[in-house]
Amino acid sequence: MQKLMTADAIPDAASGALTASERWRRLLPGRLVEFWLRAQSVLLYVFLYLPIAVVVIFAFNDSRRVTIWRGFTTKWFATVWSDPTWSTALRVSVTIATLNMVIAVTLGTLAALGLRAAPGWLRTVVEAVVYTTIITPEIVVAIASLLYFILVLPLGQGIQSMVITHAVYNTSIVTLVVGARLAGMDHTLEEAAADLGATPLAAFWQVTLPQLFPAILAGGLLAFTFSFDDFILSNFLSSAGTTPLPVRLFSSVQFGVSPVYNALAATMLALTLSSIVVAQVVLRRSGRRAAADGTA
Amino acid sequence: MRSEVDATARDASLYDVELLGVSKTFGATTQAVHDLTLRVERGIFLSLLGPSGCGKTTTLRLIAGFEQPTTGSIMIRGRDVAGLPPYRRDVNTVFQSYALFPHMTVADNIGYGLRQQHLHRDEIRRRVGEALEMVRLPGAGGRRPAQLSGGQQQRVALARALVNRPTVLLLDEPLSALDLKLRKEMQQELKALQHEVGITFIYVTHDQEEAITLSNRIVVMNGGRLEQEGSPTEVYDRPRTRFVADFIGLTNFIEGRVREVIPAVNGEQSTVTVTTGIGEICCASDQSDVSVGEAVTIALRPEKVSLVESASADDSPRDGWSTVGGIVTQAAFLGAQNEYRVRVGKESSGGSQGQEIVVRQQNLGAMAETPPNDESSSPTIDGWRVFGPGERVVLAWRHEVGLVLRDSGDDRATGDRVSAQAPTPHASRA
Repeated sequence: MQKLMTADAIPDAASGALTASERWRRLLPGRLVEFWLRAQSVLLYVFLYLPIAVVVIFAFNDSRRVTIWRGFTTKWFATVWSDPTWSTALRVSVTIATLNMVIAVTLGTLAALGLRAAPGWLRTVVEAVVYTTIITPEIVVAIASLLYFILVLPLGQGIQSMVITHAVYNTSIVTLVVGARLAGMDHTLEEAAADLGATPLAAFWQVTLPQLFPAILAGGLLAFTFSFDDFILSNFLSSAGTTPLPVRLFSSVQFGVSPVYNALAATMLALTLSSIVVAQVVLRRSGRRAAADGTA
Repeated sequence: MRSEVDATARDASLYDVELLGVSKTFGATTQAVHDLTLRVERGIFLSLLGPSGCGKTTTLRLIAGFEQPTTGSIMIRGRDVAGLPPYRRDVNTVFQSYALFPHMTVADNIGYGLRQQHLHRDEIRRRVGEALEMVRLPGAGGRRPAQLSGGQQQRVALARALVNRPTVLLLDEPLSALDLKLRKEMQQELKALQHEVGITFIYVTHDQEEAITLSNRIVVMNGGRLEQEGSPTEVYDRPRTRFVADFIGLTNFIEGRVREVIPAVNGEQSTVTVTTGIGEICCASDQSDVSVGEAVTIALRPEKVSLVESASADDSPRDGWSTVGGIVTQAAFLGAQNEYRVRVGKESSGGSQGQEIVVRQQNLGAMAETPPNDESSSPTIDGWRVFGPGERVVLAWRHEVGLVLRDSGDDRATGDRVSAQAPTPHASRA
């Protein structure tokens, strides 16, 4: 009797639950939408990165013909390093990018620090100038710089002129990046340092600068990258013997393609990517701290 | 340079901090602190209490050296600190946001001030360890501030300031970011810590309860001015201005005009009789500086008023007591207390002359209508009887409970609030 009762009770209790097929039918529309969204993002990435992937793959193609795959080789990379045409251009590019980065980081950080203490009207004016530097079409800056280095400051074309022109643009970038970090920084940290007996100089080195470091690093890497793949400014300001890689590459492509160019493109990509990875690693390390501070 | 301060000025003065006629003006018009004179005795816990924008934080920043006074002078241990930057002052601050250095470990944070003094590494390590023990965070030295909870960060901030053994510790609303339970705990810890180290604490807060719980002295500020300075009991029981009575605790205000002043005779208090919208009220008072015909306000604390059944009390005033009849309009159970709103005044019928008085009675655990014995109808025993809306009651309070506040002295203090008199009691924060 009792067994019968419990057996009766089971269907009653289970009637609220769904069968497997019912469950599946309810969840289906949501799963279809999810699948569609995922497919879309995959297609987007393919669209964005397929050309780059092709270049990188064909940089290892053992064939004089760019379009036909014949096997794996690294000889084109060897050419890049051994052929003075390319190794000189690469060296010029790295030299310009590095010098430009040092100047931009120094001036940009100082500018951002100075702007914080400046009166409101002056800050507005300087910020306007900084933005103008960034939004002015590069070709305009290129023509103006060429005239400037011939008529006003007779350096002519060459590495110095390219370094200065790149540094002007990238100083603005660093000023903005470091300025944003400064604006978001807790100023009571500096007051706390002073309160604990730190002189202004000590407080700057021990508290302000470590707080700014991620922004300075990010600004510096941006400055390096922007300079390293710059074409327009460099095209106007380079001279024979001081041709940076993008300009060299462009002029060579005009006489036909070669697998060496694929290797060059892959090399530039590798350099740029590795600098971004380094930046990311450093930023994440200090960013984790900053994020945790934010929530605390 | 810190030791030099100690050597020349130690015991030169009874006071750790003195502000003499200090004013601070920002820009052309904003006056944050106005002619503030304040002497802080050595070793006390003093609170600067007031609403936001009253100048209490500016006062703290003036002492710390983050701001320089526009006029007046500030002395720390008898030494004028005019023009001295924060890093040359022997005071340390606990910031509202704690301002712990995120890129340093807890131990490096605490040792920061000692490193600026170029102490030996072993000495620094020893004192940092002691400081961590003191704030009950031993073993947390290697962690980053971000890995600590709010209460723990608060303790690190305290340790970082106290490890330098400053003359004065300045605390800028240090507990405001903590939840209620933790705040209560930290209040106790702060009090104990101050007792232990014996350093003068100057504590900025807008929380009157916190100020009353923690302090030896309370300085009530309003509009950049010192409103009243005194012990917690003084500012609560003897507020000198309407602003203080209103800001600290809950107060009923009854407007009126002085009818009669009987000056104090041989040690007794003077008696002031005031004609108000709810009848004549007698107040016994230490201060008899009011004159007949003057407009005054009587401040009456809700918990100092007794509530008795209308039928059981004879309306004839007892000696030393004021009584007023009224009708309960609202009764609220607050847990530890019962709060009543009682409409009193002409005919108790809510005419234009009437007003509501808030009364709080201790909840003595009584069920309604069951007084333990007949004596309970005495106005001195409260809380045995729970009243409901609509009941006729008699309010009774001793003469010395009603405080006569001069309106004239208040005008600048409460500004437009005085002119905006409502017939309902001024119930400030609960």
